[in-house]
Amino acid sequence: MQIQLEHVSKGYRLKSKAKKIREVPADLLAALRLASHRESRDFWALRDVTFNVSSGESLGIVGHNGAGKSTILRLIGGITYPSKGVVKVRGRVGALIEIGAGMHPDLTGRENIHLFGAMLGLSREEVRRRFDAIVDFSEVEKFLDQPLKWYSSGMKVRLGFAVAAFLHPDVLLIDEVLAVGDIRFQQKCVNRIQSLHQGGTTIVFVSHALRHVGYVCQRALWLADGRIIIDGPSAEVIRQYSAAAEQEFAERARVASEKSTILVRNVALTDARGQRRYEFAPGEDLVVGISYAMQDKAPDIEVFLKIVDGMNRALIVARSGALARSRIPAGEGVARCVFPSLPLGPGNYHVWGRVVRVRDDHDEVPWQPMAVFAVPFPDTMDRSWKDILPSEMPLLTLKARWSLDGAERPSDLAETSTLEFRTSRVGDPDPRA
Amino acid sequence: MSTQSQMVMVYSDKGQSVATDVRRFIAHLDLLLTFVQRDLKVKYKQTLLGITWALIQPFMLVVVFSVFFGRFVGVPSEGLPYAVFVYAGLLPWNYFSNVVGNATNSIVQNYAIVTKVAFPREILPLFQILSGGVEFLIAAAMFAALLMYYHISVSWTALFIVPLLLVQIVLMASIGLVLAALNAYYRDVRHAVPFALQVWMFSSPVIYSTRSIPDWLQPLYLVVNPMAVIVDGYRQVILRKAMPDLEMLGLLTLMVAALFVVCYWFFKRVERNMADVI
Repeated sequence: MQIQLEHVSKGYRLKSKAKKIREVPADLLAALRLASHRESRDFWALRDVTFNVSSGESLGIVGHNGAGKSTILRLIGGITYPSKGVVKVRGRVGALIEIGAGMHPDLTGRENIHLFGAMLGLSREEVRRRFDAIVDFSEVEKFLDQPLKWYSSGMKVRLGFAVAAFLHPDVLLIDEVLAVGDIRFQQKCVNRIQSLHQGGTTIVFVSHALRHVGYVCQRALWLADGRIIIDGPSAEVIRQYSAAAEQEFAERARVASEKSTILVRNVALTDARGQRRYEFAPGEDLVVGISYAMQDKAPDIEVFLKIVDGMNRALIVARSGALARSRIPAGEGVARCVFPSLPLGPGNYHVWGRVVRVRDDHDEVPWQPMAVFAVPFPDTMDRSWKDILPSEMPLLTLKARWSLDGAERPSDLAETSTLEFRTSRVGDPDPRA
Repeated sequence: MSTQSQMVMVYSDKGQSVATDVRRFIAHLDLLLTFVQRDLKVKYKQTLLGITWALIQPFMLVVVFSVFFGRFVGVPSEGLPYAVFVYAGLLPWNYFSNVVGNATNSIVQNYAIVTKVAFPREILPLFQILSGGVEFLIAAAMFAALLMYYHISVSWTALFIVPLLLVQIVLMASIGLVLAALNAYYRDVRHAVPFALQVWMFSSPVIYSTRSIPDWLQPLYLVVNPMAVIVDGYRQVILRKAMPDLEMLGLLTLMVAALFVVCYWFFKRVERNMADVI
């Protein structure tokens, strides 16, 4: 048993009122635990939480903001103590709760590596041994002897993660730190976490990126309002959590679309075979199916879709033109759009859309978020690509054809996609389906 | 995997034993040294004068005090040049004042790491003793130079500085721990401390001699104010070339040791909730 939480609760007293001098003795006695406060906690971040983590296991924790996920990490990491219950942890703990904690802007990168390493519990000798690996991972060699304040924020994150990544702790706690950094770096971090896990490190991983959680963790907890809702295999927990999130999504979409007379019931992303999917490989067909309902029977509608990347840039905008349905009088239907051979590079994408009646004023109908999908980063990439690619992944991929002057035979025409891909996870059915 | 692999940490609403606390502290000594290094490096980076600032401060202080208290006011200095007399008092006093002042705000100032990384928090006020110690040694070197300038010789009794210094270190550690802990809860402390230190300085025979204190007050004075004993002790062993009052010293040692135990216990108890409060 590596980590054990038994009936753990954590409460905070909100500091809304200014402290009065006469409260000081009581406060101090309570802080010294010589007298107990009456149970005047204003806010319970965790309520009666119990779970165990075995050695070498990887546990994910998902939930909305404020559910108590970070609090659990802080308790396991020994940064704060439970109000009730017991937390037991065996072995050395490395916490990635904030990248670069303790780093000083006036010191150089080199000096900060030693400093941060010491903060995480490494001796000077251990930091020295791993120094080259750390610098290599973070890719900041050129700036190693420059003060940290001259680093870009991306570089600081890389440096911080690199030090923590080579910790080899018994337990590694990760809290949302992968939300920063570009997608290539995120994938590098996930891979590193995976290899630490394979080396026997116990992992507790808090993230909103469900894809990462599913990839790294065998088991997951869904935490809401300080309580565990489910504790089970990560695929199952993610499925239930996403289903609930989608419900909320759909609720919001429903409310939004109540402004128009057309109600969007459900949006499903499927592949060419009709299977619901969450991830698509580049060059695959993407099918967006929108179920809608209309009050009156005027059937002429138009559907707009846009695919937007992580930085809110609209990459593809499609409009259907007037779609007429004259046969079935009831005001329900499914509008389907096929994007053939989607030429998108690795990343997370959102699909926004709107359904309008052809006669309506289009401006009054707002775009609604409809779905999300991802194009995964390749698990393995040809070494030769690694040297050529810039630090950002390309937005697009295409099938390009190559030839040399004087090529006669068709076999001399090489056809390669602009990015060779081999990804194992794509094609897995949507775990939420 | 290191031997630490087998260590089980238990966090509950009850506390940990003192033995665990001490063991954890020792395991983090490397971190303590790293903090000292960081502090010293950062303090003088991007300055033109660098570490010479550590020399300039005591030097200027002595000059100013000599002019105003020595010359203008004419404070009696036991027959010695006022500069030497006052420096012998300032040497331990500045060390004390710097360490206590820095220690008070040490936890709050390092809020970022206290709330993100787990380590024994007492390192933060305690490492000030080492970084302040570097400045103390530099000032002591200057004092030696000053003695040479005035052709004042020193006898073997000067070796008694060592126990005096040790007592002072334990005293600074105790006070630093308590103030750091209190300041994490009540920021008033940080504002009150500089003022309190000023008053304390004037209440100690730094600028003036113990001989200036009325006889009836003397025993009380030395009992209530440990720094008075230490400051006067420096003068006793270096300038008056006499042994310190061993009885007094012994009593002080016991007192300070007991104080440290209480203050450490206080700090560790309060430490649990620091991350939630600052």
